Amino acid sequence: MPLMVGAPIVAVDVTVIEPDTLGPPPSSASDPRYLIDEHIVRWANITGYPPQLLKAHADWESVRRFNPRQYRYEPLTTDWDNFAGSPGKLADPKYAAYRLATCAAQGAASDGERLKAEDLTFRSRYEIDADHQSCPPAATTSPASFRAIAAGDEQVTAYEIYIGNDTRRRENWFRMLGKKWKRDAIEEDASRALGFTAQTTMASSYGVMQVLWTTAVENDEYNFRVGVEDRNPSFLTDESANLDAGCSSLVVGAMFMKRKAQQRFRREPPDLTSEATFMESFRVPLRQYNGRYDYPDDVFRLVSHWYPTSTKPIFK
Amino acid sequence: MRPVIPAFLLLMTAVSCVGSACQDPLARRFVPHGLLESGPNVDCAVAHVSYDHISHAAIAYANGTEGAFVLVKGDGSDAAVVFASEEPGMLGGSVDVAVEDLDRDGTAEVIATYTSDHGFPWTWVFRYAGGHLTSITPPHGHDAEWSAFADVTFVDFDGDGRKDAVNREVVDVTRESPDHGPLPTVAQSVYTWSDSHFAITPRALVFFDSYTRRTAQPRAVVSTFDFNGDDSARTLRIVNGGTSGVPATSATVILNGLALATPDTFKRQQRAVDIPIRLLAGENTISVEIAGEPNATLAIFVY
Repeated sequence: MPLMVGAPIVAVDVTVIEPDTLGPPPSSASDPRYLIDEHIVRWANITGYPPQLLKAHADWESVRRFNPRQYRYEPLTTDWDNFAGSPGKLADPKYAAYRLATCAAQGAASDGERLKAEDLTFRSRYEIDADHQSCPPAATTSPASFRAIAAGDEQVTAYEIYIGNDTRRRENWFRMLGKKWKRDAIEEDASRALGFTAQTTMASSYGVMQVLWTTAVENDEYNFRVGVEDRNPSFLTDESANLDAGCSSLVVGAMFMKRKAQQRFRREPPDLTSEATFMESFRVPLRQYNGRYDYPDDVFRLVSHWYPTSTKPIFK
Repeated sequence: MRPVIPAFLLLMTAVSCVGSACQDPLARRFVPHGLLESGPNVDCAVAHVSYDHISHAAIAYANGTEGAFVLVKGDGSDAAVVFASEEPGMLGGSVDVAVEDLDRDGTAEVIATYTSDHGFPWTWVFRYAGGHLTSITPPHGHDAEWSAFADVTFVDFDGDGRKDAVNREVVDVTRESPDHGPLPTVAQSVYTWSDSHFAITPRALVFFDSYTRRTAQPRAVVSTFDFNGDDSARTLRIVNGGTSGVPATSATVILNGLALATPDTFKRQQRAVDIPIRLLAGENTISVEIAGEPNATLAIFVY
């Protein structure tokens, strides 16, 4: 970008034309891919994260459905690392309020006092042994039949969810697992390695940006609901009430990208030569969002679908 | 001439403590002020190691979104940072540090691993020589800022006694439906030593696993792997004592029902054996049973 040292500062008025849609206008007003465009544009304006990139990002994370209640529990990473491996964390007030009651081996903690019934609805996408019992003993045989987790089920273990869903329902947790010592432990005795109570509320990702609840909680600058002390996992979905309240995964995800981009741009200013080079400037922040090397390319490939379009004339 | 520290002494001086490691006095002193107080998401790992007969501390830390690494010389009031590294790939989920003499030159390498919140690990390896620490981590392709090492197992591949790096990385992910999880494509490759660094160009592996004798009675461990390549004529390499250095006294290795090694043909004194094989299209099954003292290990590579 051309730079002239000592040139007088000139005030420039910039008018931002709010797009009608991100991407070509939908054929149906109920097309779920367009229902949160207004919020995407709003948070793109607030954070400086380009709207077509923010929408492409949500597109990839929500597997092109933009399901505001998208949910995934992470037994082999988030739960194992944060809660099973650190029992003290379950007693930390930050987490204790939202934990699920644990078995004796994990301290026999009670349900968190701030949990809402809504927080427990998401886990019903997973199946467990139809003969589930609270604090089940370690088992090595495969259950005879399975059923969805019910609202009243207590002390469901990560092992039960793993057996019922990893290969059987193609959750692919094991194949994604990036630590050999963990893979070895599971192959040796999965019931022992995963015999901890599944924290399906806290060790999960939510919404179109698939934000991990732990990530959102651990970054204190992210509000869940302005003026509300509670930080329930269900506040991270991208349903209207959350979006209107200025929380949801879209907000947390956009704010994360803003922070990482600012850090990156201080180290290496963005290249404004072209749109392509500017997008490229977000490569490292995107990689930091997920941690996988090729993740930015997966998101970049979707950008061309979501350019802002406007039916209003820009020039009069 | 730099004194060479025997391997057994390195093991004695290297103490890694994770979890409460943020309370380590050196961590509290040298991790940037404010980071440790920023919340329970802060993770630290500290490994103490002796270089040139002086105590050093290798400290990796992360605050939830970013991380860094420092080597501190000394442990008293004159302790000081002698090396610092902060790469974009030092992500902020959790950290681990280990010290191990990978190249068997008598001086420990430092291995720092940063794992993202989504569970993707990235690993850096540092070598100490001449009073300095240097990263010997190969770059990720042309991307010098990013490590080639993701989920790394250090194991002797070529039988020279030095531990090479077997790298496992999720290189692609297919998202077929929100009703299912992401389907990863995983690549495994081995980086051998090239002088005092790891080679830049790895050798692709079809399969790798290491087997450790843990049970009182030897038992067969069965693994499966998919093969979808064109060239089914491959090599299966057995390296005795691959990860722990403790060799098996004998082993039975069966690939797709065909015995490739038996106690009659594979003995303790054999360090590395190459066996020509032919893989099946689709799923292949390998069964490994080792005999020997506890922690005896055997590494199997197919390439």
